[in-house]
Amino acid sequence: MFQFRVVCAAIGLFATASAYIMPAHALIIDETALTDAGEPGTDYIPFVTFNLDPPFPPDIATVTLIPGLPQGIAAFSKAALATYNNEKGAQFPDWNLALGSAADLHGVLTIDTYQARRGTAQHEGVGNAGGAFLAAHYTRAANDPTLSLTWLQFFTDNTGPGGSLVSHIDPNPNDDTKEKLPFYWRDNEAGEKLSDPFRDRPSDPITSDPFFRSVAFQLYLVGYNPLEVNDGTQGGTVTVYGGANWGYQIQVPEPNSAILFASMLVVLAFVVRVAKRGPV
Amino acid sequence: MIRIMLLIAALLAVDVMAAPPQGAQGSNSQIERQEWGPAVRGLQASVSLATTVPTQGEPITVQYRIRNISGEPIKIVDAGFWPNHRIDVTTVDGMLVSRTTAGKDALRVFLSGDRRKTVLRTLMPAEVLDDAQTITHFELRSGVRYRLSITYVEGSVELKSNQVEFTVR
Repeated sequence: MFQFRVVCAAIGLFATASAYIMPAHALIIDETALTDAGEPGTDYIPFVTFNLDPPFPPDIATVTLIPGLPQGIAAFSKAALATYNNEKGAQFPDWNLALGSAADLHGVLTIDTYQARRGTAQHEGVGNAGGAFLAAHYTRAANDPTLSLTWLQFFTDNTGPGGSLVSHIDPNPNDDTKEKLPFYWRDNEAGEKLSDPFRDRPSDPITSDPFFRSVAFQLYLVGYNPLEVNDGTQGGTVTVYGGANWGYQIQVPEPNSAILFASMLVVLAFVVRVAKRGPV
Repeated sequence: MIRIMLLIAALLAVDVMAAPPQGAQGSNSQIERQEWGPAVRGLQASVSLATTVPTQGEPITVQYRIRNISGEPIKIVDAGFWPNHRIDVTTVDGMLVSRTTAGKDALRVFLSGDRRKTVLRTLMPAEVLDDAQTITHFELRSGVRYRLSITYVEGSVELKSNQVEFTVR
């Protein structure tokens, strides 16, 4: 459990440290459609709990959105930059970076849906798995850069040996076939365009009890020249602006912790009941 | 002489009719001629070699298709290909083939069950999802005949393609 908390803290610090302070008149993150003054609704489910199916004992799993609401990122984080440079040669050769910032964009990044979910994209709401769903779109401003805009996503999770942190540019391995592009969306498949709104429904199977999985995403708006995409020459320039943090954690506490938590709830209920009765 | 000329003309006409039109990769006739794997919950998968003669050390490009043979729309998961597609290559004798670093990475992602990029895609009745994939995942040797198949695995759905055989130059 201690190890889980250390990883939690590390990922929290990582997310905070990597998001710089958003300058004035920069990219606007609009979450109003999602929260209705911060209240959970259909488009916003900050956490979900469920009973594990066999073969696990009857424990409770919790999927929690971390951060609770997507937070603005002012520029490409150092961790994302290091990962990009590390993976460039094998995953998207000769796609060079130009570093812009959220201040270069003046439009609105609207978060349409942000949900903690049980199950997987194929099997929603069932099984020993959990994850999240994020849907977002960007509305350009008249004074935005003239480059075409699309998405680049960086993620960090604790799927490394011994629960250590692992980071990649999404997807990894890259599955582009015409040209290896660093973008989240591809431009070489039927039904998928670089200009599409962002959609992602990541998930993880719960493979043990106790279990802890932490997945942190940094979603960036990036600019590119469409003449450099699938033009028969591998490579081009991608300009990274700002974006938003999002992610989730899946927790199945140790049985002792669950019993302790349940006991605390019973005691709390008793105290509340006594308090409501007033002094004897 | 006239009969021979007529015969040649007839043969040419048959050949022209049988040839796919330029730029019609994935056309209906081609898809019908394709070899498909067994049907699973209204879906079928097919793999064919796009690389004419694979050369040792060079990537192999395959054309991978999934079609909806049911009368209903079916949702399939696009997870960036490698996380929910298992690539199997054996020799024709059934011997396993060593994986390259890229192959080990792809298999690790597949076996983990973790999904990062995940998008649901609806395949309408009779619609075919047509995708090329470059495979650099196996240590293939010159002169050896191999058998390759691709299996889409998502939850309880396990959709196997046909098997395609090839010899590496």
